[in-house]
Amino acid sequence: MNVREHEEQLVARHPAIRVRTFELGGSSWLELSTTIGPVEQFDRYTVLCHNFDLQIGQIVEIDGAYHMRQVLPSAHPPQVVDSVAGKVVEAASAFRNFFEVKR
Amino acid sequence: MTPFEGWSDLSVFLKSISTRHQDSWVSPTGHASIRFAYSFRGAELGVFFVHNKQEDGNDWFYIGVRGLPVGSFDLSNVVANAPRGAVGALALAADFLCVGQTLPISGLDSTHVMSVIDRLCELAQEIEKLARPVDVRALLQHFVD
Repeated sequence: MNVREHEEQLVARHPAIRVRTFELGGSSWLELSTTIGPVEQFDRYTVLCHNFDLQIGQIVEIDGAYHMRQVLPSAHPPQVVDSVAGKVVEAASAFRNFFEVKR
Repeated sequence: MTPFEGWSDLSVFLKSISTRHQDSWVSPTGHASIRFAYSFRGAELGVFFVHNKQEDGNDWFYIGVRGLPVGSFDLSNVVANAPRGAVGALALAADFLCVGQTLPISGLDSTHVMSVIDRLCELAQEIEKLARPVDVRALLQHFVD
């Protein structure tokens, strides 16, 4: 299975996940991300505190919305990438729920 | 490059790149941590690593570069103007504004780690430029009073 086929399968299993590859320091990396929600719905201070506490994934702002993102060296086996994608979706959902309760 | 086998293998490498002020401890939550000074473009930055063993047995860690106390910044200005990239996110750790990244240990080699540390240091230096300028006149006034 080539990289594109694997990415397609990954997105089919986790429809909320966006997959992107990029280069850093001569190595190829994979970025898995999912949208959390518009920036104005969340408190910045809470977001920054969560970014230190999260075990997997980090909250980043892209084009006016917060996203849960995790990067990995792209050589990881497909099953690991698949598991991380699931955890990124879970972490985004947990943050949304946490914020709803707090509000 | 040979991938790291686990946290102890990675921590040996980390200790080898520190310039000084090396410190390692286990937090009350049971997470092993290492912090040290790291030379980057003529400056010495505080880098720290926190080991996170996941419930499924996989080893992950957080790598952070410590910045200035959060009170030195206008938070909305930092969030709006901090440089964005594929690696690194702003975080608050013990009231210090840091830039960090979580990573799995498996599949990671020293080249990956060095690329991430250097990128985070680069971001930390850019973010530091967004700190509020020190009001020297107000400081002097304080001493005169």
